[in-house]
Formats: sequence, C-alpha cells, structure tokens
Amino acid sequence: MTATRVEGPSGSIVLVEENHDLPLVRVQVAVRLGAGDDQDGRDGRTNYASELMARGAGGRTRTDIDAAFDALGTSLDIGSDYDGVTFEIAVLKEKIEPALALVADVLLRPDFPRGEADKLKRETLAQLDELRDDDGTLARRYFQRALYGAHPYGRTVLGTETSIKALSLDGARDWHQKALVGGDMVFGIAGDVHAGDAAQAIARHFGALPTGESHVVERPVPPRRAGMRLTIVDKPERTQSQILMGQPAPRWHHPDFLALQVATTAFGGTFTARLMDEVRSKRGLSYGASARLGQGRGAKALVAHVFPSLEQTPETLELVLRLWREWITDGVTEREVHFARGYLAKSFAFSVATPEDRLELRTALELSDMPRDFADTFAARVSKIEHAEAVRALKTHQTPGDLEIVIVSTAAELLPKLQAAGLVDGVTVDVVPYDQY
Amino acid sequence: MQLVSQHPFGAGGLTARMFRLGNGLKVILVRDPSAPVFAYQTWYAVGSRHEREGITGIAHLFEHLMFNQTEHHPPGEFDRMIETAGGDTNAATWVDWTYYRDNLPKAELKLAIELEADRMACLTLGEKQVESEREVVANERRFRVEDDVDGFLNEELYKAAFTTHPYHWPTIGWMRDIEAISIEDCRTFYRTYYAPNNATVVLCGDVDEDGALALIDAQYGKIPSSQIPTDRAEAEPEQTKERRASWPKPVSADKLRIGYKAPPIGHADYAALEVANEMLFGGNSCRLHRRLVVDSEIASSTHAATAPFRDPGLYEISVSMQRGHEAAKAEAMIYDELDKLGHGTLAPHELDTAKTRLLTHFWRELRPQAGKAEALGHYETTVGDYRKLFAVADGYSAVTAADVARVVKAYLRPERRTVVVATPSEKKS
Repeated sequence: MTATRVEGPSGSIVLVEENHDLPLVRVQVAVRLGAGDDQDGRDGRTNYASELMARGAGGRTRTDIDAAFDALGTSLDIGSDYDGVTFEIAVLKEKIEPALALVADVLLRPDFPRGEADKLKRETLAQLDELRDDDGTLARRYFQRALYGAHPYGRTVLGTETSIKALSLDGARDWHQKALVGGDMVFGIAGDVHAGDAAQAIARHFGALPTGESHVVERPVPPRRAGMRLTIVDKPERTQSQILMGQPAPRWHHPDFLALQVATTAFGGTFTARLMDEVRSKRGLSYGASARLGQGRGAKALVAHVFPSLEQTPETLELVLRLWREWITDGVTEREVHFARGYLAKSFAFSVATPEDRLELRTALELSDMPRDFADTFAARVSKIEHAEAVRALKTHQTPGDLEIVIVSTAAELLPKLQAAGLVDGVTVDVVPYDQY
Repeated sequence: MQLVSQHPFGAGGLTARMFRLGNGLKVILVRDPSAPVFAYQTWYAVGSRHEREGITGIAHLFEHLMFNQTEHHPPGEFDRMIETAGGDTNAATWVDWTYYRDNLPKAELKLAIELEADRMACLTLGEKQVESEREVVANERRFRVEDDVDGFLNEELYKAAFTTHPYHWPTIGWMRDIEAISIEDCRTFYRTYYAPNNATVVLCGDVDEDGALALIDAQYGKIPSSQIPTDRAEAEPEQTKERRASWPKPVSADKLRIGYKAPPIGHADYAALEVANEMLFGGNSCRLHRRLVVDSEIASSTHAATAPFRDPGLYEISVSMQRGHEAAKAEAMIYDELDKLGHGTLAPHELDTAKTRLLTHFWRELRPQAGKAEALGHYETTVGDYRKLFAVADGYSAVTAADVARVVKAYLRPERRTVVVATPSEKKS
C-alpha cells in the first residue's frame, strides 16, 4: 500500500492510493467550484452544467457516452455539492485506459448539445418531484433554506422549479470554463494501479486542461438569527414527523472544531450518546436520534435529527429541546468527553480502511484546504481534547435559545398538538406546502 | 476446531477458510492485514420465513432485543463497550436470515467474541426488555412503511404475490403483530433459533488466525446446540393469473412495482436472469432506462433486481413516472421489451456489457472487510456453501444469449406477475 501526491496537469493535484488485493480501480476527479458558488437566482447551475457535460462530449452523443461507460462496466457518477463536484467511476483494472479517455472527453471536451440541455431540465424537474416522496430528504432541503437564508449554503443543489426552468446553455458553458481549471482540480486514483503509471496516465489524458483563473470564493460567515423559528413542511397523510433542528457551526479548519466535534459526539454522535439514550433507549420515541457537525470549506451546520410518530411529536420535541438547552447550558460531563474522544480516535481507522476511503478523505481535505497530515495526526489530536475545551467550544459557538427547527408532518394535525403543549409560544412559526420549493 | 474447507479469495493472496466447532458452530475466516481493522459477523439461519401469522416481525424484533440485556451485561452495555473500543455495531433481518455485525479496530477481537458468544446464550427476555423495544420497532415501521411510499408498495407487492409461503408477510411484521408479540413468544423463539448449530461466524480483517480460533473455541465451545425445527415454509402454488392493485398516495406522479415469480439465488438460472436484468435496467444505455427515462421521458427513474432468496422470490421492477404520465404506459413498454428479449433479439455488444458491469459490481461489493464478510455469510446461510460466492463471476461469464432469452421467456410471463401502483391522491397539472 502506498499513498502519493504529485502535481498534475496545469497545476492540478494527483492523489494515488495503491492496493492490489482486488482487480479494481476507482477514478475520481473533483473540482472546487460548487453549488455554493451558483449566483442568486441560478440555483442548480452547478448540478445542471456538470450533468450536461456527460450528455455529449468529444463529438460523441449522450447515447454513445452512456454505451461506452456501460461497456467498460461502469457508470459515471456525478455528485454536486455546495463546495465542489466529483466525477467518479470504478472499473476493472484492464479497463483503466479507455475509461480515462472517456472521462477526459466529458471533462475537457463537452459539446453542450441544445436538445439534451432542454431534456435535462425536464429530468431535473422530475427528480425534484421524486425527492418530495422522501420525507428525510425533504426535511434537509427545507432546513438548509431556513437555516442559511441568503448565504451560499441556503441555495439548493438541485435548484427550484423556477431556477431550473431559467438555466441556460450559456450559463452551463460559463460554469465549465470557470470550474475546469487546473488549480481548482484534484485527480484521484485508488486500487490496483501503480502510482507512477497512474500519474502518467492522468498527465496523458488531461494534458489539455487549461490553467485558468480560479473563481472559487471564500464562504462568508453564515447569519446567526436570534430566537427560535419553526417551519412546518406540510405534507398530507403523515403518521410520523421528521424533525431537524440546529445552528450554523464553525468551519472545519477552525481551531475549535475538534473540541466541538467531541462535544457533539458526546451529545448525539453514537448509539449510546445522550440523545439516543434519552429519546430511543429510555422512551422508544424515535427509531433514530442523532446530532452531527458538518465538515466543509465553509461553516456547515450542527444538526440534531429525530423522527417520532405524529402523536408523540410534542413529547419528543419538548424532550429534545430540553436536552439541547441542557447540553449547551450545562455542557458535557468529564465522562462523556472521555468516551467521545476515545471513540473518535479509535474509530478513525474506519475512515481510512480501504484505498477508496483514503482517497475520499484526502480529496475532501484538499477541497477544504485542510492540512495534509490530518489523517496521520487525528487520533493524537482528538485524544488531547480536554473536558474544559469541549465545554468552552460548545458555549462559544452555540447558544441555547437560538434554534432553527424544520418539521415535515401534516400541519393540520400537528400544529394544534404543539399549541396545546405550549411548544410554539414565543416561537416564529411558518407553515409551508411540501411541494412548492 | 476442525478445518472444513478453504478457497482463494480474489487473486491478491487472500484465502477464506471454514472451521467447525463440536457444537455445530461454523466459522469462516479471511485474514486480510490491509488495514488495522476487522469485521465480525454472526449469521443466524432465522428470518421472517420462520414466523407465522400472529408473530410476524419477531425475527426482526430480535434484531433489537439482542442489543438490550444479557445475564452479564445490563441494557445498553453491549453498544457502549463496542463504541468505547472505537467500533460500530448493527444488525439486519430479512426473509431467510438475521445477522449481527461488529466492525472494530484489530486490538478488540477478544471483546467482539466475548460479547457475541454471551448474547447467543445468555440473553435476558423480560417484560421490560420487550416493551422498550416494541415501540422503537413500531416507529421503525412508520418510518419504513407507513410514511414511505416505496416501502408501502414493496410490502403490498409481496403480500399479493405470495399467498401461502411466508414471503407473504413483511420482515418488519404487521403492526398488529408487533403490538401483540408476547414475552413467551420471544423466549421460545430465542431458545429455538439462537444456537451455535444455527449460526455462522464470519471474521475478515487484520487478525491472527490461530489466536482468533482459540478465542472462539473458548467462548462458544460450551454453548449447547439446539434442536432446530425442520423448515416448514409452505411452497407457493404456481401463479396462474396476473394480480393487480393500486392506491392513492401523496405523490406527484405514479409509482409502479411489478414482481415476477423468479428462481432462488442457488438456482442455475439465477445468473442468466441477473444478466437479463442488466440488459434491461442495468446502466444508462440499457434498454428500459433508455426507453422510459431518456427517449420517451415518461419516467424519472427505474430500478430492478432479483430477490436473493433461498426459495423462489420475485424479480422486482420499480418505476417512478414523470408527472402527467400513467404507469400503464411504462407497463406497455416493459412488456414489449421483455417480449423482444425473450425472442432473442440481442445486439452483439449487449451481453458483454452486461457481464462486465456485473463483474465490476461484484468486486466493488467485496472491497471493505464488512463487504467480504457479508457476502460470505450470505452465501453460507442462504445457499448453504460460502464457496459458491466464488463461482458467481464464472457464472456470469458462462451465460449465453440463448440463456437470456430462455429465462426471460420462462420466468417473465404475464401470468407470473403482480402489479401494484401508487397514484397521486390529488391530480396535478
């Protein structure tokens, strides 16, 4: 097993993770320009442009490209997110050369055919319909908007009905020109390949990559609103409520991040953490109960998630709000910190267990401007977090009374129950239809 | 501990070995030091097929109860000990099996073996334990079925397709049964099925083989075997007529499920049906994705797979329609394409493409230690021999165009199918 990092074409980075146990190779190309960089009113542009690149490239039609990837035994997975886009394939090792040639066509020579551009809009609108069938995904979409508002992370990766219809071919071409520049790209290869061969293959296939100017901008600090706000995403016939609540958190590379991660893990990061213990183990109120701290280039959110029955939603919400308040006000115990840092240090081995895991982590670190020795030093650093540091980080970056809450449920049934329980007194409440955003 | 068999695992020098203890416990071990971790899985040959009406969901309820309390560990301590060691643990239940998985750093093998052996023999089953898990499972059912249209359709598909075989009821159980299962039901179920001679331990990762076997022998060797009842799952009668049902649901567009009676995973035709499925639904250029999603734009997504069951299950097709297009349109295109494939109209490259895609997927699933363990445990428990996993790749390679046409004609016939549809409860423009 070897891990290498070399400079690639036009100032790009090439990461390689060698492993010869199975006859498989993963290729991953990441660009730094993401949905957070879509300008106002153009939600979905990154997703649209990156998908459109595979709908005609190097003189091949969409049909040709799909057939070529299928014949290589793979599909091109394109994943757009706020801080970048990844293009990814996994092939048997003997297919690596034609696979790289095909990926290079898509990335460097997209044709942006008009017919496919219109078709992609219709497909994306249908995807939006399908997304609404999943209450958890629906809750995350609305939560992102409620928490971040006009901040880049308040946009939607997929877009809205209005913004998708307004996307243009010129906009897609413009995105491609700005995103596909050497300095903002990370190539990765993991698996049954030799590092030197991999770097040479990248240089051979992607030599035409332009150097270009970077259009990646610093993410602003997200707004922190005072008070508690509740958005009920009204969907008929629900027997259960999907509840998300949280606040913006510090960036991944903030000095307090690790201490806050320890405090969050103690609260809701494992099956035996405080939240799961109180909500599920002691009371059986929800199948899942968790709290997570997001990692990215900008300030992601600290979010708690529970999903009780509609009947038990008031009881569960009251409980989780109390736990959240106590957590921030009273902090975590010495014992909880001891457990959380031990868990984080030891379980880190699973974040780097396979060559694909290691490549994924190293790419995320590059995209978020994190130190390259992150993986080597993580266990030692987290083991040194003291109880006082975890409590201080929690109190510094979170406030007990300022909370954004989103609930996907049937409003006509839920709201009277919340009112009767006194849970919306002094809370700004907004009821929105589930299928209008 | 006796070595029963062994087989190379891939071409990188790994080997899978199977051992057996005197009490019948099977142990499959793959030593792979590529990362300082291991996957420890215990596969019990008990699933929802071993239930009856009135106690449906009990196999899945055990998936929860087994984490609760034993004679040696109070409630929650199992999870706490695993997490303190930096590991994670979970379980899964399906029609033919239940398995428990622990992923841990290499230094924690003794912990995994002690905890798993303990709950195989010493689980505490009282009112407190059963009641505390019952409500969690009811909430899980709301999450997976009542409020999830895909989960709902899947349940209705099997309910309609199977009339006598236990595949009729859902693994999570009917809500009325979840609420009614008694403590005595649980005790009987545990005594009957949780025994070494009904289990296979699968261990993959950075472990010392001799040390691991000695620890397993010491911890499990004293657990008595049990009298496992003969599997009395009633054979499903031949389906002779198409079955159909539909429901209004809060969805934007129709959702369609079609299930054809299909061969079991151990059947010689299973690989050919997998290849046929790959041609129909397997990638962006496959026939039905192309026709339904790309060309006609009547659907937003398609998916299909053959259930990997011990007894004949279903070849399941799922289609999410685009707004304004009824599921019937997709059905007509699907049946037309099945007819063409059954009559052997095959482009020369289609067969190779399907096989290459299946092979790539096969190796991808085996990359993590947990993936290796899951595949080995599944084959040993469902097919009866873990070594058949290694024949899967050759099985795909051997499929011919004539095999594809034959299995499509034999299995994907109108009278063998069940169709369920969810339609928008409020029609939208």
